[in-house]
Amino acid sequence: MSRSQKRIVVALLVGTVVSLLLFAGSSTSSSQTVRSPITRLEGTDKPNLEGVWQALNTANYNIEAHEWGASLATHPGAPGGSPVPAAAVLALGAIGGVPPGEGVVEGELPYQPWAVKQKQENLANALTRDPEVRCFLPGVPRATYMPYPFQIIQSVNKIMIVYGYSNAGRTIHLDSVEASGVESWMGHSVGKWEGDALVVDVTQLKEATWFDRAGNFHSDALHVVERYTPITPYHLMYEATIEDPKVFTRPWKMKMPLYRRMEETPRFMEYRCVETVEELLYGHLRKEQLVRRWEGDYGRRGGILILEVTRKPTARQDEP
Amino acid sequence: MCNRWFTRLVIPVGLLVGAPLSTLWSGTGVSAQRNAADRNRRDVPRTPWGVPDITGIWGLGYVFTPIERPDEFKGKEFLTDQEVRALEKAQRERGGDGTGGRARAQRGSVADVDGAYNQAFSQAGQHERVVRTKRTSLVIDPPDGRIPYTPEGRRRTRLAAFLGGDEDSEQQAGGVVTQRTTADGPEGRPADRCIGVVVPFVKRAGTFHRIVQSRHSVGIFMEDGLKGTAYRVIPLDSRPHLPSHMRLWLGDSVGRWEGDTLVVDTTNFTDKSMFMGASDKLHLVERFTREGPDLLMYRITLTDPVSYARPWTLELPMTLGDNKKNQIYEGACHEGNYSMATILGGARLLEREGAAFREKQRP
Repeated sequence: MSRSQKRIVVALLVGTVVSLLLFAGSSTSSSQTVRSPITRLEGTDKPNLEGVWQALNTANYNIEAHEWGASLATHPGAPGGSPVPAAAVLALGAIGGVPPGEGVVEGELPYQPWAVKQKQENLANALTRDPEVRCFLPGVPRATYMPYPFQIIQSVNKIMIVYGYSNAGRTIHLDSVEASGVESWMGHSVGKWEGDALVVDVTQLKEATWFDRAGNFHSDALHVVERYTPITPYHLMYEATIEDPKVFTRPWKMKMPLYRRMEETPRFMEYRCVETVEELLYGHLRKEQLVRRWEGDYGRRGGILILEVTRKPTARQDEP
Repeated sequence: MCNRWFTRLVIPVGLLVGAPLSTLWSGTGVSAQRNAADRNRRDVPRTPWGVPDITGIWGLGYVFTPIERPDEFKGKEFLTDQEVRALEKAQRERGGDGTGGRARAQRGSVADVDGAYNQAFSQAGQHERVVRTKRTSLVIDPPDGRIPYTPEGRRRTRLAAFLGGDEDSEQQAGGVVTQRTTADGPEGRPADRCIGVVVPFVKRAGTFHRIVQSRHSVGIFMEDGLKGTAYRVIPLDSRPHLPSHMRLWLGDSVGRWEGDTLVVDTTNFTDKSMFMGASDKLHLVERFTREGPDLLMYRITLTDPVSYARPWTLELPMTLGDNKKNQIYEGACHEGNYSMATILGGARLLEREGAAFREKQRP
């Protein structure tokens, strides 16, 4: 071997040994899994979850596996036919349909027997009872998989999540704070790091929120433990363990990936649905009825569709 | 919840403006003007990435310093310590009996209970104090402490006062206007709609900011007992503002650190929020400077060629709240808004009863 050949061999050997050492180092540096190349919060060893994220699934329609549906509110179909959209949403056509999904729940939802009936009743009346229809705060975990992006702002001891829906958001406390002792729509969130996973314990949640548009519900005994695990710089694995001994027979879990929004300048954008639901919620109390009639001309296939709106007071007092 | 401020109205500033307190202002001028450009202070905590750490709960507290300088204090920018004590004592004496300075309602009546509730919430006359900078107004520029309205700005301010949409505009319009709202529909009652807080957020009593900051963005949760809450996200990059046809209650904010000051530039406001008469041409430049361990100086410069003859600046010294006690809350104003339905429903009931009465009176 010439001197230069020797040099190459030595260099290769050294290189191999160094890479082996590096590899060994990386596989032993974390106790259970090899650390993925995720970004760290500057000046700390914690993952940096900052950014705009979004779930890409149909869990907000139904957290359980579901086939496609005609609409969120249906009318019995003709004999032998599928249910058709109810009058309230008929004009929306395919836009008002329910897209199918594999669901995000592990196994079946372990409802207590009475709760199965309640869920069915919720589903049948979803259009008038789903808190989302009224632009109410969505609660946890529903806020995570609504069809809006959300932004994580990460400080050392506080993590703020601002959701694209309504005025929804929350602060996760990584330091010690006193709980208010008062239930709220978005609850009280206390976080800690377990390896690279952010584990958030959410308590003091109100009974009034639902898990989805399909009427899946809980009580005020709801306790949610969330895990946000970065799996790449662009993906978080989101898991939520749901405990509610008043409604379910055992704890259950949902799981879904969250995707980083990769636009050049992704941003949280204001969506104040409070204003948009005023006509629905207060229209019957206006001095002059505003929305009375809708007419749409669909051409030969469809003809003219006319929807008349009648508003009147109710005696029902059971809204949340 | 949404109506707890109804009977509170505009007592504190009314007192400061209206009370014959000129005698208290005869002391020598205060020259202890704070200098904001105090860079690289050592007593300011920093993030791991080096900028001042402004994460925390920040509140103006229960202050009764008016936005604009009252005539009594013309030419006087700051109060002496003695003057501050005298003013605060006068304020306590006026409001400390639970009546907010008015004759107390009959004991046990609904009005009495309402008054006590508002009293407890607003702390009117109890812990209210002069703003900690000891300024005579929150407006620090122009030097006369007055908002440089254009005629159109004044007109818009009066309109906002009529609709009850902005408490501070009410004061500008010259006092309490009762029956200023309509009950024809939700739009006639902006203060009851729970649309959410708007930017800039300059309510003075019982309102708080929670700031959480990361390297590339700052989040601010704003809590207001009256109009609910809002979350605001400020990206820290040089991105352009949204297209000008997009109009938002919060506007579109882009921020950057200039030395130790967070500077936020906001445009794209809606015409509807009418903060101090502002139009949708409003352009805000906000400056957040942590000037001490418990002091976040918040300065807002407002430019709006429609409503203001020149740019003007507000200064709000915000004090750090107790992190452990964590006393900032979810508003859920809309969720609990039973008031709108009862107000509108009550108005319809009165109309029906009135119609029935007139029917009976017919010969």
